Amino acid sequence: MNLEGYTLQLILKEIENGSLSPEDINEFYYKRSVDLNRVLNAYITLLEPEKSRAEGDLKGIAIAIKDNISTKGVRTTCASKMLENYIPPYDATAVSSLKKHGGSLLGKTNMDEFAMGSSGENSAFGPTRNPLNREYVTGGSSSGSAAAVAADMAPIALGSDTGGSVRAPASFTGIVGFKPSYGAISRYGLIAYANSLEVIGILGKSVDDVNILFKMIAGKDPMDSTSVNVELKEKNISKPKILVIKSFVELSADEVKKEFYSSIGKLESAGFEINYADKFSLTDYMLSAYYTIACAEASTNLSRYDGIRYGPKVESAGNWRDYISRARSFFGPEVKARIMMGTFILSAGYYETYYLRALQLRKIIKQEFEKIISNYDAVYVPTMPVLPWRIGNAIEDPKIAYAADVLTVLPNLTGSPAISLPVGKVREFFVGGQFIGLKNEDMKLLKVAEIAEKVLQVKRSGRN
Amino acid sequence: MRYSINKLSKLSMLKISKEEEKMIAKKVQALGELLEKLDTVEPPKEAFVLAPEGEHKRDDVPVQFDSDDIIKVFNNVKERYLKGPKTL
Repeated sequence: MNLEGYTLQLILKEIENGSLSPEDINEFYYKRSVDLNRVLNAYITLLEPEKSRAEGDLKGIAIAIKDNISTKGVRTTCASKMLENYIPPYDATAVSSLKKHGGSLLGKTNMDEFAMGSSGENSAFGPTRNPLNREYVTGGSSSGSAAAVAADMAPIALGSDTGGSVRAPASFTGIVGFKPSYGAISRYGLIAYANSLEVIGILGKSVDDVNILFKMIAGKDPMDSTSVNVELKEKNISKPKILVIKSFVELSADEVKKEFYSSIGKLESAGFEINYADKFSLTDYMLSAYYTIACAEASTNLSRYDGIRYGPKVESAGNWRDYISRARSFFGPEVKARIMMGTFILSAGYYETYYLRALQLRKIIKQEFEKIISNYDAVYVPTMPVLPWRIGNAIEDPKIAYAADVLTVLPNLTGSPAISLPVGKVREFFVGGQFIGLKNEDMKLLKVAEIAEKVLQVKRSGRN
Repeated sequence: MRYSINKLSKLSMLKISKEEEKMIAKKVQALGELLEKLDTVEPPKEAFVLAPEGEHKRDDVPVQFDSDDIIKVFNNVKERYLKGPKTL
């Protein structure tokens, strides 16, 4: 049996008509993952398939979960030495919802440590490799989830998105990555990095696949007071009205721009109403506002890893300060750098200059975005301004990775839903296009993306 | 540059080894450049950071952990979780 290229939707259909069993399917993905993981390093923990019955909407199918989403009884490392042997005693709400729908767990996927990174290189378990070319990065931070789906090591996967961590790797590996509205999926059990920005997202082979899973895990949760009920009724749109922000497209490399503009031509021919805005006035400050808020929240959230509450115990003959400093040496360099910047940002004298100003900018960015999108179904921009880079390049020059987030941070600052799908191809890589919608109008956005996917037909090899 | 790695690491209670010092310094420098862009923005006059009155209210009910269940989990999982690779 070969399930290469099978979408979740097709798998479910085949189970329903009796041509495939969940055991066979889970066995296929497990064996393929064992084989390919040696080269791609997509999983940190793989679980042997358990006996499952074709019950519930997911019919016993096993799903890959990013390793910062808590799974009861299965270690959850955040790709960090700090949590190398941490076993959560409870499931994240998203995981328990999947289980309630008949899903099971295939494994925990590799990622940038504590979700800090855009390349998938900052993992204490080694970098994830791009299935399209193993010398190149997958994008991050949900690197393992993207590689697993792209390489048919999982039918679909959960990731998390703080500044593009689902959409960036989806774009670099040629799959679909969906970041829902803030609060649409409960964050209970998602190990916190930057609470006000992050969401659980979905990586799949098609827009329909992420739609199927989204409807299963979305909804208000008493365990997460920021969660909301977004409307989950399918929307009916025939000719989507799209706004392209030119100043965003101009930030992209020429080969990305060319493919992106070519996709606009195809969409226009298929009846999309395309409109252009010259610029978004705060484009230059989005990254600064994002990194200021993210680092500040990281320094607060990660203070619990002190060797007392969380993290390995260490030997120390000194005082508490010495003990905590030693315990915190288990963090990797990227995490340390962000904690240090966050501590600086929140320190007396700088709080107003940086943190407060970033919050104010965030509010203006949100207001401006909501104003410009109000007459359209979605904004359309490239997902990543560049193609994947060689593993190691961003470690030499960290600015490469930070700058690569420039087009993905907007929806995290505004809480809007966004979805990346392959819209063009350059050499062995795909160019991702990103549709961004109005907050809590996730189903409308998914409908626009579904129509665009059908028009553009940028497909990987294999079945659909 | 005002971000001395020594000072920041003490402030954040982080021990930095000699090997990582150079790499962290590069990252802090890059993040610092992003931060400094904020110096050039005129902050808006209205302080509209806080949500309006009433939007803070929580309507969720705290749920208690089942402590027996938590203890059970640890005894049942040792073999399963140790299957993965070790960190580098």
